[in-house]
Amino acid sequence: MASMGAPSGVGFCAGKRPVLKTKRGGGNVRCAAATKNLMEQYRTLKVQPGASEQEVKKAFRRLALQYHPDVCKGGNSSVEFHQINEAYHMVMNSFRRSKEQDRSDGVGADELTTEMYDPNWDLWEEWMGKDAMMTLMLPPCVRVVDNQSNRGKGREGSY
Amino acid sequence: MPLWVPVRSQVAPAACLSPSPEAPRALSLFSSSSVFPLPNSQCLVWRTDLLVISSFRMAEQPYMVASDSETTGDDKSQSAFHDLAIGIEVGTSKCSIAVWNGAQVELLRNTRKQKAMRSYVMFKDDTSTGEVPSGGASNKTAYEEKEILSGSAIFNMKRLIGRADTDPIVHASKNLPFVVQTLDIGVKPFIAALVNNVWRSTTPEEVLAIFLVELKTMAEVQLKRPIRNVVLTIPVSFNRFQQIRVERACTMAGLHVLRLMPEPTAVALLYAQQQQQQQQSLHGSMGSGCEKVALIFNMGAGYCDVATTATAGGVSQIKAMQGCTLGGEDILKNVLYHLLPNFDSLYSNRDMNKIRSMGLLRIAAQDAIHRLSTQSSVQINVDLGDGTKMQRVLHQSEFEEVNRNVFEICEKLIKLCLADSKLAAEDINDVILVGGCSRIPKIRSLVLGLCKKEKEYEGMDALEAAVTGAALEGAVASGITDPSGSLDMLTIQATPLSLGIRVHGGGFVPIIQRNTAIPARKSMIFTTTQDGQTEALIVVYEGEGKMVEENHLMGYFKVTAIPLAPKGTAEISVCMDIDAANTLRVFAGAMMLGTDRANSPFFEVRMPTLDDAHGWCAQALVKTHGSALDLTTIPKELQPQKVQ
Repeated sequence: MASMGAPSGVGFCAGKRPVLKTKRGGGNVRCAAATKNLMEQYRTLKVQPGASEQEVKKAFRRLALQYHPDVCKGGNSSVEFHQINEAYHMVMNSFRRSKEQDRSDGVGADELTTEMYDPNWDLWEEWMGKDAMMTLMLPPCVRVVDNQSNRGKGREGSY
Repeated sequence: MPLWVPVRSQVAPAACLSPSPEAPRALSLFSSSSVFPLPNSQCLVWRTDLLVISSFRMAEQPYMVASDSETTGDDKSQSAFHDLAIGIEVGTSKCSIAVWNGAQVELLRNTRKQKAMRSYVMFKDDTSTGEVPSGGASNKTAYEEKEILSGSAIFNMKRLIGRADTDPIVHASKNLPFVVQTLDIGVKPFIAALVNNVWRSTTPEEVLAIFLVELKTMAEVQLKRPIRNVVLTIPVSFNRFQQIRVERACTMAGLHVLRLMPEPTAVALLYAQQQQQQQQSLHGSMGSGCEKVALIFNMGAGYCDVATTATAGGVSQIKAMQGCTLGGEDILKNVLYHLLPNFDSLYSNRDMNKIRSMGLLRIAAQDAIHRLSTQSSVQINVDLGDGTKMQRVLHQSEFEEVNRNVFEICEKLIKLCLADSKLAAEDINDVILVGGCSRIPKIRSLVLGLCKKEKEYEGMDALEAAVTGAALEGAVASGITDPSGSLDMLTIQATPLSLGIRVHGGGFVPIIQRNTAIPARKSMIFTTTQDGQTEALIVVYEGEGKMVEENHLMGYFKVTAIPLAPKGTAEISVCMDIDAANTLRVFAGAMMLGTDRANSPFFEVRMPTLDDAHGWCAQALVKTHGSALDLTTIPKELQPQKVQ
């Protein structure tokens, strides 16, 4: 198990991370960065920006059969599969967002849908006390069951 | 018995001391092919059992692995399949082994021609050889269910393994015929089997290891080669502690775990293969075909799992998974308490007669439940032996009423899984029902109803699907290829539980969310909560609770060399990485102020680092350090946009 290439220390963690020292309201900066990122994600998936959802899915599967550690033996592949996973996730989310944008015209709703699937954003909203907003966005069954399962898991404990 | 001494010295210490599956190249006794064929398998069982037992008694002995000839190139005939991993499903009640035979997956049978073998280990005292535990896979003796329930056998290991004595599942296990003792302090429960009228203690890991040794032996005899690598299926709800315990049991048995595969994902892989073959026969070699979405519902004796998968071109992507400890055992318990409302008080004292009558009642109830799958009512006639006779009719409606809570939880799991995967019932092409409990009419109708389907997916054996998928994964992950292309496939797994760290105030901040595709790597930036704070505790948890105490503590370490700065300004990067084998590593360190460079070397920690009594560790940390080493989150704008 330990043989799956251990990432080399700091390099990837620190990465080249755009430190956006803008205050809240720097939405433009964020959007710009996100768009640029999306282009990179398309490149990671080896498809043209603007490719259809079907094409992206197909490309992802092709890459999976090529680069997934289960099938890609030797461990010296140039592409790390978690990056492909990440890229696929981001591109698929962008499709979902644009679908939802089509459905809703309101500016407020627009902002919601842009970020609602980003886990970090959910957290940020929680810290900002926007729980009420999150509550509205989630389907009711999710909340109810979630509480339930949390209780269960917490209690069970483990050893 | 000339062989046992070297065996013991080879394996025991490694098995006991190291959770690392790399450690023992165990059972190199098979490297000399003269061991095969085994004229007397009884001798083999005896040796291997002794090996496991001795591993506990000799923990303090120095680590020593014999590496003479080992498994290097001495059987050229099977070089292609030399390291081929076999698939094992150890169920709460039954278990099975499957292997890729070069053309397809084949399930192994024991000498009684069973593909599904009862999971238990019988502890018996034999004056000639000392203790000789033997499991349900054993080919020498077939114990009757009555004997298994006599207190001398340990079963339900899968429900007990890796749990603390505060766990309600452990408490619920107290109605089993063997002893389960709890002290409710968050440590390992005490379990014991009756040997010569004495309760002899053991542990769930030990029992599982003995059982695995027996399975391994059986497979080695049949496949005529040493077995080292395995793909083992586990329930979705197994946390990393439970996984470690299972891995450790495998290590004790001389097995290397190539993958621990959540059961429904193994089924998903089999589904992907079937879809691939179907499309190939329809469209020739056009492999990539159209995407099919399936909901997999798996409920056995101990656990209930739900997963959704999207598959095309042989690639199965797990969209979401949900699971909980719920299964036939709970249904059986509900029925037992319904039949005998004073069950607990009746069986609180454990004399032999009580145990025997409890066993008889269990068998009768189990049989009634099975028959209720096809009949609307069943007659229960059982002589409990101590003068009491039970004669009554159990109706299906009654059965469904007493198990209403079970069905409700199933329903919740499915709804949650659909919501997590952002799927509606209409998006699902196939509903796959597997596991013994999927035969219960109410459960079938419930699952199909929620997915708005008339009938379930056909073409899968409900009891063999998971182990077949595990054997496929074993072949794929062992690098076996098949000229016909039937191994050109893959399951892209997802993490069933979120992983994150504790922040100031005891909140849990997930870094890798549940249902993230793996391999995965995510990082977040945190900041200090004190002015001039130079050290910070990274306390890693797994679970879905918003507060850390609702989740499982995986381990902790300290990040040092944080640059002197007012609180809220220093940046600490925490990165979590899960590789394809599901190993979790946490990387953390402080950044130089205002830069994205590390201030000093980062720490890399493989999780979990904790072993015993981790509930206490969390309390001790808070007690000793208060909030002096706490971290807190920073706004999203300042989080890295993309992690490389």
